[in-house]
Amino acid sequence: MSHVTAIAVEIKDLDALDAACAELKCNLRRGQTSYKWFGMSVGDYPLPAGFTEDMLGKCEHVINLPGCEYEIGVARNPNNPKTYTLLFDFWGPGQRLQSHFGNGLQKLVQLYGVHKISSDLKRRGIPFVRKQAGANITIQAAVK
Amino acid sequence: MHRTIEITVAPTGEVTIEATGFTGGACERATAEIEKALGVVRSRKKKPEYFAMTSNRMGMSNRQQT
Repeated sequence: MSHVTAIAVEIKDLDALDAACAELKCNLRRGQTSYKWFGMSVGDYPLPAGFTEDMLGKCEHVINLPGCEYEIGVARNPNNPKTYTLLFDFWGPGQRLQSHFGNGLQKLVQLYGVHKISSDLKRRGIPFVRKQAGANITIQAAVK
Repeated sequence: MHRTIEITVAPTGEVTIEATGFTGGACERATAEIEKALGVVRSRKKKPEYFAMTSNRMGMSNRQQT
């Protein structure tokens, strides 16, 4: 073993996000530019970095969970337009989003990372296996 | 020794990459593309083996000069 790197996942690849959505039984609706939420900020929680109140409800794509009234907006990060921020309202009907995707949509972000890595390894022709270890998912790749 | 890359994705969105069986900087080259694709590198720690390989190379270089 020669080095260990820790990385914070950024969402950049819609195909990997699509694959994560499929695994979580929800739908990525590309090109839908508004997502369903309460409709107004009541100022009880800080906004995501770089966003203002008038930007809420607007996005480039939407994640729809069948049977849930509220949706997740996939919006360009104003501070880094190469990445997306997931916008959602976790009050009222949005509690269903939290219960399905985990606190802060953690399961969705985790599976995005897994599918992003998997597609990158496939493209490079590197064989790998995927394993579940508790809450973590591990990918072991054999490099020639 | 087999060269492997083990990538662990935590529910928090934090990813840890461990490269095994590489020599010197080859491990960093092997993981660089994955790191770039995923997001922002928070930390990178070199293991003792990394420095051992670098040290061996320097030793060989010195011997060749004498």
